[in-house]
Amino acid sequence: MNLNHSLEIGTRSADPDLSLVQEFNAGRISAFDLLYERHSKYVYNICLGMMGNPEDARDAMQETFVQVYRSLPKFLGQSKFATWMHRIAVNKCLDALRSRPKCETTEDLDLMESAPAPGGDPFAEEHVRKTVQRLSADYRALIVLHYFQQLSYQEIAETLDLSADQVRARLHRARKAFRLLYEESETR
Amino acid sequence: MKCRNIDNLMDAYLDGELSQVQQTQVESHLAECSACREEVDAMRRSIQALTAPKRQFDPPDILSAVKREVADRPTRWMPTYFGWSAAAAAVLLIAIFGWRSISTRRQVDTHITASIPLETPHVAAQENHCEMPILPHVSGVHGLSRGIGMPARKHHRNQVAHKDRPNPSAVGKHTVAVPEAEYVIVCMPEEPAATPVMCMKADIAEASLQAAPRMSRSLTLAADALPNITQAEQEKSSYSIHMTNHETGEITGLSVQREMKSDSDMDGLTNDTSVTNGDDSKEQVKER
Repeated sequence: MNLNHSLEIGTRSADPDLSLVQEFNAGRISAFDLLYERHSKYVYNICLGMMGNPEDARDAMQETFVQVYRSLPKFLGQSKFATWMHRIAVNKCLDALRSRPKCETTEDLDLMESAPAPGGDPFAEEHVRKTVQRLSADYRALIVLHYFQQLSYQEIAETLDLSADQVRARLHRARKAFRLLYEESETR
Repeated sequence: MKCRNIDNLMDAYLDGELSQVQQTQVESHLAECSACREEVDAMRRSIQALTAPKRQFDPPDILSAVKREVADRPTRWMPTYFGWSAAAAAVLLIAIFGWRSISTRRQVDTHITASIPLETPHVAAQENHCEMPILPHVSGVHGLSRGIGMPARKHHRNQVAHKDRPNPSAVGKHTVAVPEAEYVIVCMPEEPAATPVMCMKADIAEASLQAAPRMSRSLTLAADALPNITQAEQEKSSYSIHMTNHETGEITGLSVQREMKSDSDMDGLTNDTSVTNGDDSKEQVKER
């Protein structure tokens, strides 16, 4: 009991967003603006990586923040706020991907319009992103969180509510699937 | 080291997570096996592509859209005109259907307050023209709420007993209120019977309840979780049901007594689905 309590306190004190969550739940609605400001870019890039185009990513991001707003009173601080929000974002994307008709064509992300990442090759990146879009939704989530958003196995495990070993095993399969598609598109 | 080991270790090898010994083993295998070498090289290329720097795009500003959506579609209870109307309609419907349900039951049976599906092959009971009433109202202990599930039964009047036809009164669903948890149920005769009692599965039937208890506080005992008496001469049999809460280890004990009816009560079965008068079903449950 005491151990759990101290762990809980440890988690809470390590979460920089928790005070804002508490302020929001106490009635200071503007605390949500600050949470949005802190996390919108990261959430958008998760959504963009998974959805593959800005329009769907925007929708998924909006649904994520709407859900966050509504669910904040129920946030118990058992995980970090960011982890909790990333889980919502991934679930929103998975829902959208599963309900999206397979034949639907979406507007591609135009990487050439924005400045490349330092040390990155925009053409290679476009190739990778397009290949990721051909993966199953579940594999896509793992690849995006680990390689695009740089989450560790443990962080992914917390986000997706899996064990670290499950993440490792699934990521192994996701990488294999990616490799096959990547090679296939290279030889075209 | 064999080729299949390489597949298992490939990720850790490419991520540089292997121990020095393992890494040496993998590398010596790769030096000898061209197929594995090609496999590792291909995987390395794709991982390099994945790990190459990715740009982080600036998000669109949707904060106002989020707030607008939250304001437009509130999820919390709002006493709006629509909300009050819906609540009034719901109360009205409950009142109408509740009254109809009560009045129907009063007409047929003052003892039975709920119907249950009753489908289990039960040959011996039909052979002996006996009937095992459904387990009755169950009250819990250890803080369980009282007065919950009151199973009743449907009786098919003027229906010819047939070996292949399920005995409608042999088993049923029994609903009790329990704390939210997973349970294991064990049923066993409480006292040695004067004559042997056959149970559907065994004298001690164990049934692990599935996810349903997690979804609600209403626990439905599967029909075949309870032993089934099959001998007409066994007029009375007591059983104890132990429900073990997986999470707390708490054991909830319920004592269930069944009474069987005599042959004369089995005057036939019907095809109609009306609920019978409860004279022939004497049911008792005691708390432990």
